[in-house]
Amino acid sequence: MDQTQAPIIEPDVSFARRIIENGGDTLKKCFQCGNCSAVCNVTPDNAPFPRKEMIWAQWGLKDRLIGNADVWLCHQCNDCSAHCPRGANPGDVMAAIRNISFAHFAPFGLGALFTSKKYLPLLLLLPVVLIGVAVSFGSKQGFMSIKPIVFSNMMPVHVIDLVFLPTVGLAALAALIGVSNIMKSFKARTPGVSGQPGPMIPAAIKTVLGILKHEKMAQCEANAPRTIAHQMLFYGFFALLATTTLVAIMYWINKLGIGSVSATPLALAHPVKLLGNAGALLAFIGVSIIYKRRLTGDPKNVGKTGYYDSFFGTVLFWTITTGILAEIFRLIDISPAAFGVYYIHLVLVFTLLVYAPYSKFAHMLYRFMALTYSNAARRSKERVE
Amino acid sequence: MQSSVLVVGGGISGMTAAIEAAECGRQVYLVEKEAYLGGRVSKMNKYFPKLCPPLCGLEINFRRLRVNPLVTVMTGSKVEKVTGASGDFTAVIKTAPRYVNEKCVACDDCVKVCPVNRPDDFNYNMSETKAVYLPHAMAMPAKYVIDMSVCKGEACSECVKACKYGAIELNMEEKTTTVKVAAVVYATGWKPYDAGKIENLGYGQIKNVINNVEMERLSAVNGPTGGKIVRQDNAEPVKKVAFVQCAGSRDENHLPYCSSICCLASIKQANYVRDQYPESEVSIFYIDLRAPGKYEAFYKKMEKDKNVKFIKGKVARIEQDESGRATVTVEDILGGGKLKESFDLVVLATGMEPTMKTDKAVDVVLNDDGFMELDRQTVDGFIPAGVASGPVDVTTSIQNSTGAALRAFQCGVGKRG
Repeated sequence: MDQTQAPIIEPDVSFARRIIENGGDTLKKCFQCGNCSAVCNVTPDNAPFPRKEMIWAQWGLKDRLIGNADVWLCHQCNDCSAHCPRGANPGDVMAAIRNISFAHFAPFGLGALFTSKKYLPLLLLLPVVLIGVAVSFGSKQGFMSIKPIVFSNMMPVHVIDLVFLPTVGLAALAALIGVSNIMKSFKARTPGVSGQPGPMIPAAIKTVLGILKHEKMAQCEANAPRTIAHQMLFYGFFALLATTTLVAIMYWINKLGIGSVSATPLALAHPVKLLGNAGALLAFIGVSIIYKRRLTGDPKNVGKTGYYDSFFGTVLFWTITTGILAEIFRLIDISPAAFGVYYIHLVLVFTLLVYAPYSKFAHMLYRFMALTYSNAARRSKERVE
Repeated sequence: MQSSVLVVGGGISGMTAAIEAAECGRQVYLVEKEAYLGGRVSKMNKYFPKLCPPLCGLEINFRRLRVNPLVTVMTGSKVEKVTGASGDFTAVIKTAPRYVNEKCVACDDCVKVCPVNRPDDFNYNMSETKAVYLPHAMAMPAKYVIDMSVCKGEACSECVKACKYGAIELNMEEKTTTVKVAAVVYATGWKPYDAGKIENLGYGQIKNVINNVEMERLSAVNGPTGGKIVRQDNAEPVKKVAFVQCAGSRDENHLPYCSSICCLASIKQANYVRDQYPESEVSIFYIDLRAPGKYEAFYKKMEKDKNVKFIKGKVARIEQDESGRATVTVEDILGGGKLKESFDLVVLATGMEPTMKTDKAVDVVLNDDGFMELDRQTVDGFIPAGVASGPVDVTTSIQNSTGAALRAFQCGVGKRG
């Protein structure tokens, strides 16, 4: 290459340091042997990851890393880390870059609040107060002693909607902005892609089908037990989301006098209740396996657990667990426990959903977009000669 | 005060230290656990960079040993115990029975009648010998030996009957010798790292995946194939050969250090393939090519061969394809993509593991990698030679073994660190 055409590289030590602080502390051990890219089952063959990301990270080349779709094509199988001859753990470095990306792409300048546990009390204070106020104004007089236990006596559906619809709406807007930001970056910064990407809709359908089968994650070896657990959590979560939506629809059907359908609490044999309980059980088993592996597994295989992982994992685990406990306490008819746990459950649901675009929950969006972009741009398995 | 020297290990390093010491007038005991001298070097096909056969170098040393009355060579022997201190050691040496005495003239009559076969460890078990055998064609001493773990013993006695010289003694017994010495030189050498421990590279499962010491035997005229480099599953000539560098070396899960010779060994072995098959293609997969100093010219010369490709990238996986060939998976770092390519033969450039690491001699201080530390040698009276203190090539081994002889003289003549 002609000297005048040589790309100018601008190393940024502070960015390398940020990666190190965000879980990539093994970064400097890498000696660029390429073993990681070769063992990786999910990388494209053309300009494979994560070897190239490792050297970019050592040089602090922020522009090549933030918004590079490859960082999100990585599913943290950790085959790279398990087989790394230097203990450089590329799986953790890729995760660290994703952690930085969460704060980078989320809008309204709120990203920093999710980078450290020192902001956690502040984050929790909002739903605690918001839902507390809602309960104190919206609840039926003496709801605690009304039998049988009905949660909407404490938190009527229209009050729930009053708290959640605007906040989740704002979160959706934040997510949308985040997604549009990262998509722009993918187009500008993903290596191994030439020309314009193809149509997005067929690419997105392909991505959805792949995710339903957990096609990529199923190719993981070192972190293989995670796949089935994640799949259970995934299907459980969507079953719960569907349940919530159906219940809301049923409520408004009754409320608006469109028809007359069962009201909450639904009988255990009701199809929507069955869906909800099955989803809760599935999600609980899935999240428990993942949680336990994070706590007790070999970090080389399961990955290093940083603040983003523990925030998301803990909130998710307790959201599901308190949901199940609230139902159990309601069924065995213990009022204070049922309402107390239900209150905590609502606080956690708020934390999970409203903060989703800023937490690791956003991996759902960003990885989906990266896979879709990669499909559309034909980031192929074929080697370009 | 003693002045004699005990040398443990009769490879190129131990022989060098023993000869140098003896030629300076010291009494030397040279102890070798195998039935022959020469060690790993005697199993090599050629030396790099001159590509000459090591046997001519060994022959000169054999002659120097033979004519020097000050060296007592003890093959089939192990040092059991060393007591005392620098300048005044007592060593106990156990010599295993050879079952063949000094009268043997290597006529081969015993082999013709022996009914039992055994794997030939000289050829890394790629061929067989009879229970009575000559270790290899150039063995020193040129005496046969019987492997009693497979021999049928006196019940058979076919070799005893066939031997015209009365050289076979099936009831020979182990012998113990005690010697007084001033210093012990450890020229205990190395063994190839067990490639079976490296996940994903298929050694031991895929026939056409071999290691580099096996490649030496496969290329040697006195080897299992008479020097024909062939596929290991069907004995067909090879057309495409791959060399996988750092197979277990520079890897914290295996050997954390660089063995320093494997790059050159692979370039040398690429020469074997290219010489034998003019149409052949060779790929050498590496992390960094290490050809220091004068060896750079050797590498540069090979780089000019258009049929030899140097590909930067550590091989992470080897699988067998339908035709029995071995398929390597690697990132071609400079080429910009992931490669999957099939070869007739894949040679793993396994590194050197010090023998001491697993077969530790008494009271010797080893570092984490199993090599002897250099800083206490004269004080302790235990002096490393050759690969015992670090992975080096033959030339360096010979040089530091000569140095080891001088170090041995210093033991007991004055206290210095």
